[in-house]
Amino acid sequence: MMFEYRFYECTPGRLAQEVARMREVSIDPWPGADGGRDGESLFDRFGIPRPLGAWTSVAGRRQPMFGYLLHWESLDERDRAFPAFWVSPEWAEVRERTNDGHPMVDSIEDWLLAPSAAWDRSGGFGEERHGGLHEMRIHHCRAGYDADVADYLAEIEHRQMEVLGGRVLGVFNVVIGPDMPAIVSFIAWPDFATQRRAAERLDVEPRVHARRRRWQEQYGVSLIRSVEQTLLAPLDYGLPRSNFGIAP
Amino acid sequence: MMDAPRDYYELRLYRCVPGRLPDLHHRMGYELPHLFERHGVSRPLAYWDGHAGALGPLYCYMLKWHSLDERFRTFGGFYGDPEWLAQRDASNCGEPMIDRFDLMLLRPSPHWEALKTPGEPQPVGGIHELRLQQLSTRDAAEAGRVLAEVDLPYLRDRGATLLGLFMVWYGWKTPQAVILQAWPDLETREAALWEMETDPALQAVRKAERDRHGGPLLGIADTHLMRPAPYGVARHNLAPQP
Repeated sequence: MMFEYRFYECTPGRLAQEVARMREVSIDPWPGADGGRDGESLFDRFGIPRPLGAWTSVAGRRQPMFGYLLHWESLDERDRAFPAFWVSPEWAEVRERTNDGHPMVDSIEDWLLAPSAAWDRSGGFGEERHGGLHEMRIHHCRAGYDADVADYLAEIEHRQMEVLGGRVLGVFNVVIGPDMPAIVSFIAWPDFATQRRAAERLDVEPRVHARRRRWQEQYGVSLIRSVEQTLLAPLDYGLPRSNFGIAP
Repeated sequence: MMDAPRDYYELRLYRCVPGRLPDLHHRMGYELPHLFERHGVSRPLAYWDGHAGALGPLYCYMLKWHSLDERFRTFGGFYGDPEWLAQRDASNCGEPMIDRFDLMLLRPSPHWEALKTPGEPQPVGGIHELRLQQLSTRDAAEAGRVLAEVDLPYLRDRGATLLGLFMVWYGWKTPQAVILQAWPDLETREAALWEMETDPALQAVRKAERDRHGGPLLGIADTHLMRPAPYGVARHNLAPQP
């Protein structure tokens, strides 16, 4: 089971068009207004799964940013499906038409993620979709201690966030990407005020401080090198299910 | 449906804890090979450490795979091996050797084949250079072609030996080319790069690209100068180690 997180650095001024283009190829019935076969999207036809979530970033590095998360059973299958799509006449037509003379994207970064031990999916998932404001948290860990950080997230940080109004949608280890080891968590908040209150509460949470002190005593350093936070606006066509719809 | 790609190269960039490079060489060169073999990790194509670049102290090696599903199964087995965990803890001596790492999966550039060194592959000495070259999305395919047909032959004619030419597939910014080349010495490289920067004919090529595409085709690059490790010196065209 592998997850692919793709994020696009958009050319300033082109974000809305990029979002619309992604909807056209991944969700909308192909070939468009006059009615596709059985509601099949272009992605469906090429065997590319629909995104588990799709977002634009509200705050964080490299804006304007658009990103989405895919789930694959096999990367060999993924590497058949995506390249076939990229060289298809359908995609060439969409890209040419929507680019309108200039590319919309300056670069794409593509990370491979695997489910973390900190991801508790025992609650399962239903039909519910999570809107609101999402947060992507990247915990950069000291090499060799990412399992300790995963324990901390599961036992303290994520539990506290849920008490404070957040929902943990998914927790992943980066398996191919920059600045590893890193653990990526996606949290859904009802709104910004709740996210901010929770962040302030976590700053003074005694259990967080106790764990940090324990690491300091045991290892002499903090096991978390840095935490990168990106606030994300979920797109209406990519609202995630609980646990990203992945079975326990 | 297309066939799945058959060739993947994995570039592993380790940022070491300062002072631990010698220990890491020992681990990679002498402790790990039999464990890799046990789990079906094929012998790395080459190993290096870094002299210069943004990721120092850098240790780097490269693997080749034919299937990514196989790659993740293989490494899963290796990381779960109690002997690896015991060996790691023993040689860490209480402090990890690696501070952080960057992993990239690459695919060979379609232009690499035409640039390969003919003849029986031999170990390539000198100074090796890892260049991470961003390409413009204005026309990434054209940027890749220009790199392979203009820039790399220009450098080859001035002393560079191309070891490998790749495109980033997962893990880092795309479109981005990854270039591995060897130089006999630093002076040769410096002279070649300066000549390239100041050559009126090349400047005309760059200007024509900017005019035609509305900006440069080749973006900025990160470069690392590296020293081949004696237990696995890169061979021509990154041929497998014998």
